[in-house]
Amino acid sequence: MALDVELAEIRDFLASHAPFDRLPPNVLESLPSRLSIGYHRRGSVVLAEGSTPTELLVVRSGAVEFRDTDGNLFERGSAGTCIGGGALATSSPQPLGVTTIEDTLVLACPAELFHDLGRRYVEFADFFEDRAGELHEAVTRQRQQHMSDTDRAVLTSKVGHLVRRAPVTIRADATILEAAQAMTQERISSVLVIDQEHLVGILTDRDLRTRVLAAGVDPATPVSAVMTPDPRAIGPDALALEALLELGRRNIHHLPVVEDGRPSGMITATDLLRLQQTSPVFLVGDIAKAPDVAGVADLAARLQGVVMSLVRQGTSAPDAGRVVTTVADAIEQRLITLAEEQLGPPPVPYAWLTLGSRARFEQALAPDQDHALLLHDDYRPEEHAAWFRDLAEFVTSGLETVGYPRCRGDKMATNPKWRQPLVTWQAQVLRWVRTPTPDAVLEASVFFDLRHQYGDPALTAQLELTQRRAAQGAPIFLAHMAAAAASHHTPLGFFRGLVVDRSGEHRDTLDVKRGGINTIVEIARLHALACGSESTATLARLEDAVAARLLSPVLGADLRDAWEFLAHVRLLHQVEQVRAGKAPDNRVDPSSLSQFEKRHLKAAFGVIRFAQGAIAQHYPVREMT
Amino acid sequence: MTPDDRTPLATLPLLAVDVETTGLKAGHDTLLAVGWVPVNGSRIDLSGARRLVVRHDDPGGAVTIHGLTHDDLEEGRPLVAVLAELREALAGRAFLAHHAPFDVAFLDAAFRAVGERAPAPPVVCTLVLQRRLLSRHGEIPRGALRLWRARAHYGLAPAKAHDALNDAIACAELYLAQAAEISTGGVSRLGDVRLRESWTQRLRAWLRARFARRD
Repeated sequence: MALDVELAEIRDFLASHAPFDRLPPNVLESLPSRLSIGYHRRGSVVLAEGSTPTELLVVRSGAVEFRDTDGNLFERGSAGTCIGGGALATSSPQPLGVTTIEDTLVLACPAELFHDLGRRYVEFADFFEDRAGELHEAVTRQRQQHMSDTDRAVLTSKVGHLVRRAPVTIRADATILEAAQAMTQERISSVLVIDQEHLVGILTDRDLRTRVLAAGVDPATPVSAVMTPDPRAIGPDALALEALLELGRRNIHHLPVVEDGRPSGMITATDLLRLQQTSPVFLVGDIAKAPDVAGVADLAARLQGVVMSLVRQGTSAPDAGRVVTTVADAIEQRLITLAEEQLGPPPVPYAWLTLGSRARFEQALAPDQDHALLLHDDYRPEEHAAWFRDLAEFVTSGLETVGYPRCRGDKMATNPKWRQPLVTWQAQVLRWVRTPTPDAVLEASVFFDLRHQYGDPALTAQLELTQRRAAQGAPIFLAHMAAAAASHHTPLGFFRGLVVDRSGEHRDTLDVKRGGINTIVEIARLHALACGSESTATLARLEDAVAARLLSPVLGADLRDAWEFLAHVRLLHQVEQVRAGKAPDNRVDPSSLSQFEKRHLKAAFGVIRFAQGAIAQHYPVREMT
Repeated sequence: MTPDDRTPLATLPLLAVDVETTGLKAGHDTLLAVGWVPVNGSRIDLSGARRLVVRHDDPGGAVTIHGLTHDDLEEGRPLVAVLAELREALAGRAFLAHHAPFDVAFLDAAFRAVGERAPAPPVVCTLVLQRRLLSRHGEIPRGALRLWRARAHYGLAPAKAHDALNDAIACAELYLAQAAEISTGGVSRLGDVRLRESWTQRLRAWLRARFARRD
């Protein structure tokens, strides 16, 4: 050992950064002694644009910027950033100039060694040759992990995963009355009793019956007098199966989950039984049979659990989006039939239209409502308005009860503007298309993602036909849509845990929806309208656009991968939020992303920026703005 | 060929050296290991990085703090061989160290102990350079000249391991940063950065060499 060259620190550094992390340990071990170290003061050119690199540089400390001849920022990188690899790999001149923005230490890998590694390790070479191809590989891997059996859920789920909300607790010195009130208000059948945050007891419905009512105890007595002290509890890492056995063995229905003496949730027999039914099929069937809005709401509360279980089993984002949409459809349909049961049969035929992300089968876990009512042309406001107003209000408020907040832009059937006979809708569509003000383009973009939900499908089909014909023959309208899609600021990548965009500004959150997913959705919609596609789902629209030669097959495939990857990141983010008891949103903290995710997100952003540039060529965007 | 005072820093070959010892007194405390790494102009050449442990059959107690075990020391190489390899690595290069007089003194003593004449390359000391660079900005804060503080001044990360090789690399990196700063004013040469001994230091060194064996 005494003679060994101890360059472990440099080896460890390489091992924690791509693409060196893909090399086997013995190769990594031998690398440092074949490298050299260089130093560049802040503001110096490390590699000039157009020059031919003779070595691969890896930033060891400090930071660099990549810019083109016009000074446009392309990337900002800190420790681990590779410089000159692409040009070396393809024996072409360096496409972007690289300048230090801090005093920077670099590790230099000679070209000979670089090529040798590339020849021996495909993963290493791939990193420099094809970023988009790598994204494709990542997405393919995600797809291959599709769920196969639901039984696995019971066997492998941990108790901590089943906990859906923070436990309802009450202090030991609270009265029985207070406990009963809390349980009624929270709609729970048991409450945990705590003393200085530590679990000391449990009080259940059964206790209230047997130990309070039947025994004639005064409701003003402290809970501690009637609770079950020191209840049996379980840790969050225990298997769901163990919890199931524990409940059966002790003939109890509630099992507190305790972490470091503090309660973190409650597992009930129902939770465990439900685990075996976390297939959305059960859920959709149950919703269709729900007797009232409250019943629908109870079932809808299971949706997040279903999605979480699907995600744990490796479901892809498009599939998860479909499940969420299918369940939401079942909810909406059930609410409409409940409304009809209450209001009587409709005075004229109608169609209930679902709009926006749900129309595309892409609803995420952060839900909202977008819908409209399409009425038969026999509609006479003075006679029929009340019935449809009541229908809209019943369904919309029902959806709200179930957990779908009202649309902030008021794009809902409750808005009289979004509750019109077919002729009026057709005229509206033509008005949007012929006089495309920015507002019109915005409204139209929601309304052009439209799907029949309930009622007379012939009505919907006629409106869709009008839309397709109108949009396809309206180049100025399409150009406005293109301009809107091209104008979104797509991030460049990440720098020290922050998101960087072209202006060089840093943000501490990544809005995956506004910064990426929506732009792809808009590009897909644009092309779909231009080629008269009947699809609403983004991936199907991209396929149609490729078939119509509006998109190159390569760009089409890249956009599909980018969309899937972004949707996947969003899905994991939202599932994590739900698990943590937070309301799901689209804002991802960059520091929570892995190196792998950051790398592929960067590639996805690159694909989107490229596609944004490409639509500017296809549609006369510049004249519009 | 040993570089002379006119050699520009951009092409100056150096050898960054660090010694691990049992104490602070050259000639009294023992040399345990020597680490080095060549610097060619503005590049550190890791292929020449070495850490040689000196063989000691009875190294005494206070060695584990250096991360060297008794086994390491027993499996080390004879002092003569370590010094021969150092002499070879040093050929044609300036000697680079942080607080260089300390390392020079230990190595000189080691060469004398094996009855050899120590090489006498030009010496560059990153501590002295740091003092010079910092004194442009006024008074130097306490501790600012220590290796890790000096590195932090240039945004260089603290290293985890402190052995002779890692400290030699740390010193070499610091030198690159210092040389880059010194060179912003124009071309600098070895003569601008090498350690210049005062005549009293030279006299003391001569006396030490002359009466080395006295105690």
